[in-house]
Amino acid sequence: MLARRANPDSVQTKLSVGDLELDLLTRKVQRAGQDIDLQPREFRLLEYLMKHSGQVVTRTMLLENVWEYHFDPQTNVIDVHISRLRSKIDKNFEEPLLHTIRGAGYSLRAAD
Amino acid sequence: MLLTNLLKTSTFRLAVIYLALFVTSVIALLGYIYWNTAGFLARQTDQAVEAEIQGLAEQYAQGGLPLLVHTVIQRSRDPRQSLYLVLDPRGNVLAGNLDAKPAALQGPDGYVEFNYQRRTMEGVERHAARARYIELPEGFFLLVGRDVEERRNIESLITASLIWAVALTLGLGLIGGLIMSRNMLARLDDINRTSREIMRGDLARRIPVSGTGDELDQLAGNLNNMLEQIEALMMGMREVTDNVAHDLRSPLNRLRNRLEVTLMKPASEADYKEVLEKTISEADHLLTTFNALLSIARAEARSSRESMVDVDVSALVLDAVELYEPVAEEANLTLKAEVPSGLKLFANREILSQAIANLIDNAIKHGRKGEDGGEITVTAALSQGRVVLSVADNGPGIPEADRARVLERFVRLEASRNTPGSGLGLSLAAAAARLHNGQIELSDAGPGLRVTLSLPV
Ligand SMILES: Nc1ncnc2c1ncn2[C@@H]1O[C@H](COP(=O)(O)OP(=O)(O)O)[C@@H](O)[C@H]1O
Ligand SMILES: [Mg+2]
Repeated sequence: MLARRANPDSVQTKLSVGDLELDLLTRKVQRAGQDIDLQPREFRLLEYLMKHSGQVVTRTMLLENVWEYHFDPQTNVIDVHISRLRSKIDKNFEEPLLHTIRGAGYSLRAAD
Repeated sequence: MLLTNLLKTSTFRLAVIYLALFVTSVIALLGYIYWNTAGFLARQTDQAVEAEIQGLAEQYAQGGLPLLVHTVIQRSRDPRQSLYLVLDPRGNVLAGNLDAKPAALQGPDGYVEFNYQRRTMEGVERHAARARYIELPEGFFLLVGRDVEERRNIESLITASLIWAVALTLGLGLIGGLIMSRNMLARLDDINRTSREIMRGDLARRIPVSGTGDELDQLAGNLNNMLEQIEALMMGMREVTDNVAHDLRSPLNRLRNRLEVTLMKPASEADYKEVLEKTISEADHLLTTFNALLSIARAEARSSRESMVDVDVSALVLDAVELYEPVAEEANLTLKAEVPSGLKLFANREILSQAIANLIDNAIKHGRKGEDGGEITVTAALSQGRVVLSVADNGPGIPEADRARVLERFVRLEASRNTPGSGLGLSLAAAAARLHNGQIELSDAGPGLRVTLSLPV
């Protein structure tokens, strides 16, 4: 499910989920070979989701780790950030990678 | 009020110490006066008597008995204080103004003190005398002395006034000390009684102030101010607990009732799932409320002051703006930030970001919506030693009369009935301002609301 094309004895610098790839060094994101342009925060959001791919990530986890906020804003700000990211990585592709888990949070994963 | 209590007061002890000092100085002063008056007189007469008796002894040595008797008879005629007596070896009076040899013996200082009968124009009076005598060669006896009646009178006068002075000082001092201690004790009793009543739970009690503005009044004033603050805090706490209980009861009841109703009738798995999801979202809302309450409590706790660090306020504000930017865009609002870089403040990062986030949240939720032209402006600036942060929208704003009220916990205005929220956002912003020794101000952004946090650097 999670394919890591990294040299096993060097620090992992590339993450990938399905055909989505993220390079931590060049800070480039590609899906199916197509460049995807992300804002810095969107990059960090995607990086966190990819590092926890296959798991359910809650809004609180995202707030704490991506924004370093240890409180819940009253309005659901995370949802909107997620839908923005989703429109960049999923919109023009057949298979969705970023899933909403109702009542819990989100999960980034590729179909088996 | 018990006398033993009175005697135990520090005022009384102080009074006694002063009294002792005062009595000692009165005795010393009168002693000095005595030494300089009566004592001086006594020394003068003693010297005169000594000189005279030596003189007469010399005359006897030169001119024999006749010269001595002659001189003594001459001098005895002078009706002043001097006393003389010359006796022959058998004890017969040869000359002088005394009837007989005094019965008393000479004391260790060579003087004899006795009483004699003095003949005056009114008759015979008993007078005190002090004299010195010597045995002349061939057994004659010579006595020279002075009438000291007057001196004795002066001495007893001085002694009497000394005793009176000391007695009076002691008496007045003790009474004064007792009265002072009683006053002190009465006022301290007031304070003690009030404290006991307060400890019994009557927080509204205040210590009476005498109005003289003395140090006890100042103490009472300070204690009263302290009580005022404690009472306000306690009232606040009570109100908060009441409100929390009340505000959390209805959603919990709602949640419980829905679960109960769902259990009462058979339902499909999809129905159950839906109910459970709704329940989770309501529980989440409750948790948000609890967390907001905890944040406020944390902002009000002393420990938050200790966890302050140097914070880049510019970055902190821009981060909050960035967090809300997509939400604003989705709501068709323009979110602008006018923030110069590099603003620094010694602050609690967590609480300050939450305050800013709450203000932006409010501007989005309660500001202009549904139509075009909604605008939110977030600014930060350094002005007169203060970091001034403001969030302004162009929505309906808050009427002047409600601006103080909305800072309280759980207060939401009628206009916001259908907007989500629990009425704690502004309370946290206000607590954050207090934590940083600053102010929060709600003003008219014409149109709209502007909330300003002004925090001293
Ligand atoms: N920007 C604003 N414009 C108009 N009203 C506001 C604004 N901000 C706050 N209010 C009013 O003040 C109330 C209290 O705000 P707050 O404490 O943040 O609670 P909440 O946002 O959860 O309702 C709100 O319910 C609303 O009525
Ligand atoms: Mg609010």
